[in-house]
Amino acid sequence: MPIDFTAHYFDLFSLPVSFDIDAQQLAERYRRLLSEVHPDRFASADAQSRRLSVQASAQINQAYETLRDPLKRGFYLLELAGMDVAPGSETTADAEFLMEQMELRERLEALAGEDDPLAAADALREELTAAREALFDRFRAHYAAGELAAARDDLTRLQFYERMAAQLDDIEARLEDELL
Amino acid sequence: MALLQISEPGMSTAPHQRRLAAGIDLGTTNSLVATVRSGVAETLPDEQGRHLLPSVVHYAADGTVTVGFDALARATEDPLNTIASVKRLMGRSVADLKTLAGHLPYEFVPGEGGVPRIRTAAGEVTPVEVSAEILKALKARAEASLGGELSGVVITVPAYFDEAQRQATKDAATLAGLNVFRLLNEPTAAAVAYGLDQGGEGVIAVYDLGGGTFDISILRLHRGVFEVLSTGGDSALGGDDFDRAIAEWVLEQAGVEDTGDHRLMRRIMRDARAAKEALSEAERTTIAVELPDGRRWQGELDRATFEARVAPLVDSTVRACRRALRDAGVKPEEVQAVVMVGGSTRVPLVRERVGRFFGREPLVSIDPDRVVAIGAALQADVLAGNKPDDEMLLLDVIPLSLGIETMGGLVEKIIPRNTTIPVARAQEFTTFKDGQTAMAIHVVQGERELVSDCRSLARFELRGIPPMVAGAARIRVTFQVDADGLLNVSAEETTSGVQASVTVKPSYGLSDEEIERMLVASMTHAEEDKRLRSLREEQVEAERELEAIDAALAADGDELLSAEEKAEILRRRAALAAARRGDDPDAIRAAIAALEQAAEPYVARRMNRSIQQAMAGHRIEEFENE
Repeated sequence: MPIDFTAHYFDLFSLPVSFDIDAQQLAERYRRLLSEVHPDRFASADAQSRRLSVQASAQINQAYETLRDPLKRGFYLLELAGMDVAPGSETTADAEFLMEQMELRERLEALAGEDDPLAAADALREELTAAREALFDRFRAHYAAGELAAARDDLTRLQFYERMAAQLDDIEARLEDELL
Repeated sequence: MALLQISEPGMSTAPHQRRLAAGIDLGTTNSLVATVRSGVAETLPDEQGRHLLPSVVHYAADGTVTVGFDALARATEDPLNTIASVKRLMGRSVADLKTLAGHLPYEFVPGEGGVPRIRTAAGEVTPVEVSAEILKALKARAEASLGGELSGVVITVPAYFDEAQRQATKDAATLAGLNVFRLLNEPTAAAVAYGLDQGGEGVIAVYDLGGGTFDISILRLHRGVFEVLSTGGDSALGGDDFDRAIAEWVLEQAGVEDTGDHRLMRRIMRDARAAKEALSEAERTTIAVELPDGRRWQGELDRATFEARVAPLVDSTVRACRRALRDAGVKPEEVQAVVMVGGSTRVPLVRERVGRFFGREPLVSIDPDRVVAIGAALQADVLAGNKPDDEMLLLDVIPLSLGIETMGGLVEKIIPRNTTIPVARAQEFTTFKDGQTAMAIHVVQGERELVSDCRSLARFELRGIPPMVAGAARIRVTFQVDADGLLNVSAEETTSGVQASVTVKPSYGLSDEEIERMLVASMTHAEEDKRLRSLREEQVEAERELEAIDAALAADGDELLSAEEKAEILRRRAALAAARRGDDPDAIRAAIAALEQAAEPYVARRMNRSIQQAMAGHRIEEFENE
């Protein structure tokens, strides 16, 4: 029997259901909870408590991972609101957005050939960060207004930017290794 | 009536006895065992006062097994039967070994399930069995020194060890008759040894340069919780490379071509090592070598020349540090402590370059060869329950992503790397044929997209799926990784609630049956011993159950249980106490299961309550702070 955690993730950490959360408070409560149930607390205990402790810890870890990441937190909020948010299930058919994606991809691939690739990477990163912040603002507004489909669309676009940022990190790491 | 004697509320069974526990550093080159005595963690020496146990096992034709220095002494004359560096083989497949085999003189024979076996004069052995011999030697040393049986141990593993390697390590411990409290990451253990968990906060770098491997780990410590943020390193870089750099210098100076003369090279390497060690203290040292043509060459090596030779190697470790910091999302100046591990960190240039990169003096006050074992011993002492007030909690992450094979040999990631463990993720599958009642799932670990580029961990077969039309069944497979990083899989068909049975076939680990067989084979009176062993194991588990339920009932039994529930638990508790005094392991097992079944809601209630209390305590604390 899995431990009874019918409470949703926000309740688990005694946090209000909201996109804006106090990250430090979340981290602190997470650690407090986990130190109660972690398998290390049951290393000399009976087998049943040990099993339960692994399950409870896994649940708390899952809740924490979901809430601390803004994108996952956004999808989770939509899920709580009854939206179907199968990850990566939709592509935005917005032509303008598709063009922008292609343009960003080309710039990413051209980075290595720039005169000062690291500076170019920094510039691109700033753009990506600005675009992500703007999208999170839009998500907040859409979510607050109950426009859930539009909010989901914002998150789907954000997924694209997150992937771009991850790729940029990889490329930058390679460049740094070559230059340093 | 026994029931009344043992269940008086508020009474604990016995005064708390200090449990014997040990920390084990199962290293590639050397291993150590340490324990906490009178509040001090110390490594335990052998009868000759030597703390290090060379991780070397020799198998003689008459079946005699020797471990440590005695085995090491035979490495030159009997290399095929002297197994060294077995840690590199743990959890590896026959195919993996092809890349390593160049460095290893052993004869490998493919075994069941892809587990490689090494042919020795005493028969074929698996890496798990070889490691178990090392662990047995350490267990014997600890028990002789402590004068009693170990209740459990903490064994350290590299932070990057994958599931198969961790499982192999745990299997070796089982085979050696050790109860493993926890597999602990080596860098975490090193940080614990320096007491960095005591009140400290911030980012810690653990720089571990051993004889043949280099590891850098970035940990974050917050309120006694360690998180591994990233790891990096080079599995083929270590102090041996420093020795080689000196040896090459000697050959150049002496005007000798690398002749491929192994005896000469071994001698020069030995002298090079001595020179390296001397240069940790002195500014210059003399090297003398007998050359094959009868000439005798002698030269002086100063520290500057040595450093110029090894600087590229040290710099490559610093580059790895930079990468690890980047992976962790941390800047060098944010690192608040740098822990040095491994004998090669005694080289002054290493300390200087590492110190310069991180902008602070590295911690070197604990012997870098022993620091990991000492940290493991401290943690073992806590996990044995000897320090009930200790708040330390060591959190680890899964070092490599876990995924499953999908169509076309591609990997679908289920648990991404760096996820904090324990973790559980569920994935839904469906059938693709009408009436399909079984399906196979292939679990892999790694970051690459193709199954062939990842490490195959296990194949699962789900059976007992109720026959339905294709695509109608919903099979929910739950992948659970415990605090040791070990994987467990369960499956359920959700539309019917039927539990599908899971058969695990580790790709190159050992199955439970194989381990059981090895355990039996290692005993002379197999059947009788097996029964005794099983009885002993069940008795230990029964004691744990009794102790746990008594402590729980005393704490909150009346609050959380109805009178009927409590009576039922007490009835089954009495039955278990009676069974434990008997000699039938099956009866004890059944009594444990019966008690667990009755206590299950209670155990869950208690855990939920402790969670609620943790949160409640928080709110009060925050209120006070406002």
